[in-house]
Amino acid sequence: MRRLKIFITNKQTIIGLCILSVLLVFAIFAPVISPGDPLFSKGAPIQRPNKEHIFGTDNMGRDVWAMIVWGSRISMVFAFGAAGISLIIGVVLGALSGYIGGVFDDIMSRIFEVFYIIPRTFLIILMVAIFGSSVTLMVIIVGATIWPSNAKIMRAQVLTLKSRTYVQAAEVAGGKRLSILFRHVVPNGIGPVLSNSTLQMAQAVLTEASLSFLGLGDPSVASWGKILQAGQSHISSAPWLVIIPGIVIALMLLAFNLLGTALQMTLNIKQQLIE
Amino acid sequence: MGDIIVENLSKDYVLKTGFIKQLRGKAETVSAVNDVSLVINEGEVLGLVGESGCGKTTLGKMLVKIESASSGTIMIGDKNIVNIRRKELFDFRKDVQMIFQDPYDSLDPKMTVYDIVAEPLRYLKLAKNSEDMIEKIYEMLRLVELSPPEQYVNRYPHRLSGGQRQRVAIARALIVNPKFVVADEPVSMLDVSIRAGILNLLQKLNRENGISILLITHDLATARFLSHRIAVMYLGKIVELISSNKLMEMAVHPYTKLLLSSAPDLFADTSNRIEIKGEAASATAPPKGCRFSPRCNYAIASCFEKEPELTEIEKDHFVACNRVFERE
Repeated sequence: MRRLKIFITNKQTIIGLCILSVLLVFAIFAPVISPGDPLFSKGAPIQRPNKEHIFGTDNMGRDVWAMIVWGSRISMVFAFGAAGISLIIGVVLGALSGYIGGVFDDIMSRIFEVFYIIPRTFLIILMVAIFGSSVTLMVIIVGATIWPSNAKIMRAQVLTLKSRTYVQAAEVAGGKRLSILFRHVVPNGIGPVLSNSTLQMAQAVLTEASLSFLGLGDPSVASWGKILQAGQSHISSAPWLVIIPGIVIALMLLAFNLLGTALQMTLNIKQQLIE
Repeated sequence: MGDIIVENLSKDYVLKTGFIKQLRGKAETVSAVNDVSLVINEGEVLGLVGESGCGKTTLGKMLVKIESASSGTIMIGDKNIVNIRRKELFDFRKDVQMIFQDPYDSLDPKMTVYDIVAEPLRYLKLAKNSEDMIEKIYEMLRLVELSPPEQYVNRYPHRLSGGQRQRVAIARALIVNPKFVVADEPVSMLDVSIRAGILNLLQKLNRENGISILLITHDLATARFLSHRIAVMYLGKIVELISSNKLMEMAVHPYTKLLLSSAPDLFADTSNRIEIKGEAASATAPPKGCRFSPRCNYAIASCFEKEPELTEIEKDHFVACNRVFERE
């Protein structure tokens, strides 16, 4: 539990958590903070930031502040949805691959590599063209294509942990192989995977923003990428349309990266130091 | 449960080699345990002594079925546990348990003492209900002298000392009420000051609960303190089997004598200490004939050719040496 204390009191953790909690409040209380549909026009187009619209309006008169607030919802859904899917697939497949070993491990490792080289953006564009754009679909695709790095980390962890004495002790205690894997091996090796997951959250947010920027986002929801897309053609006359969502996206990525680094640092602290 | 009868038990590990070598059938094997036969009587403590890498831990792990045997049989009662079926393994685990060498590695760092000791009860479904489980665990912690148990159950292993950890490990092994326990160097990782406590505990368990113990150790003093009989192992083979009170005077195998003479003793006369030649041979290419021959001071030409059999030279005293009779 000292580890948790070290993690929580880390400066990077504190900054990261502060940024994320603000965005999380936006995401949860969006209807309270900014009532009404953010995609409806709220006044004249291309207004500079002013008292009524603190972040100005875009080329269709939509309030940028409202889109930022509502957009954080989509970003959060992407971050936790895609990283969550990736975490589950990666941990289960990586752990089984490392634990069972042999030919099974060889085959699984090749499968990881195949998924590793799938061009994600291209796949999503293809799927959007076939099935139409929806948040659920895109979250699933992102989650189902970023898991190989989790799987590889989990596999490496399992390979070193499976020969530990407490694993043999659990076998003598009558444990079945699969329950030993998920009771003893995975909990002791999941740290680096979690740290990788925070980076994957950042990756998922960025993917969503780029897709919306390319006009492939779900048309029924407000997202940060969409503001960027709207501001694209007005970059010289209305730079706030690009700068504001840019800063927000950057802040969110920074928060995830800070948490990831802090987590990694905490995990790397020598066992002895804690004991 | 009866005696445990081990016959012609062997364990070979195949070394990982290159693809081409494997194709040409030249994969190297290590024979960790070679053709070992011995009996562990009910209620007995059998000491298994030998240097690092001689296969004593492998033998112990085969007896608790976390390592599979390459050939041979292990009979417990009328069951051969070498090819035991999954369903029977469940019952086997209730009778046979193991205490591991390193208490710093044998307890899951993410689990509390309570969960560690409860694990066998949960896996083997030995507790009727949660009150029964709590009662059993507290009773066991008191037995291994971790009392009051309330003070320990919620601790994680990193908040325990080495001796306390080993007591938790012993509690985990004994909670299922086993009839046979393999103790793999139970005190070698502990401070000298707390070794006696653990050894006394094991002795008490043997005397009062009648648990048979296979005590694996490289320390003759430990083995003599606890064991009724002692088996000396060298390079995967048993070279001498003798009752422990006869060990000092009656041991005849050159390797046993070497071990006895190299044990540190404050008052011993070091002038006639036996000198060791060379290093232990590699288990990938064991020497022809007697495995100890390259280091043996008594070896003659035939020792490099003929592998000695383990023979009974007097009651309950077995030796595997070609020159055991002529040398006297």
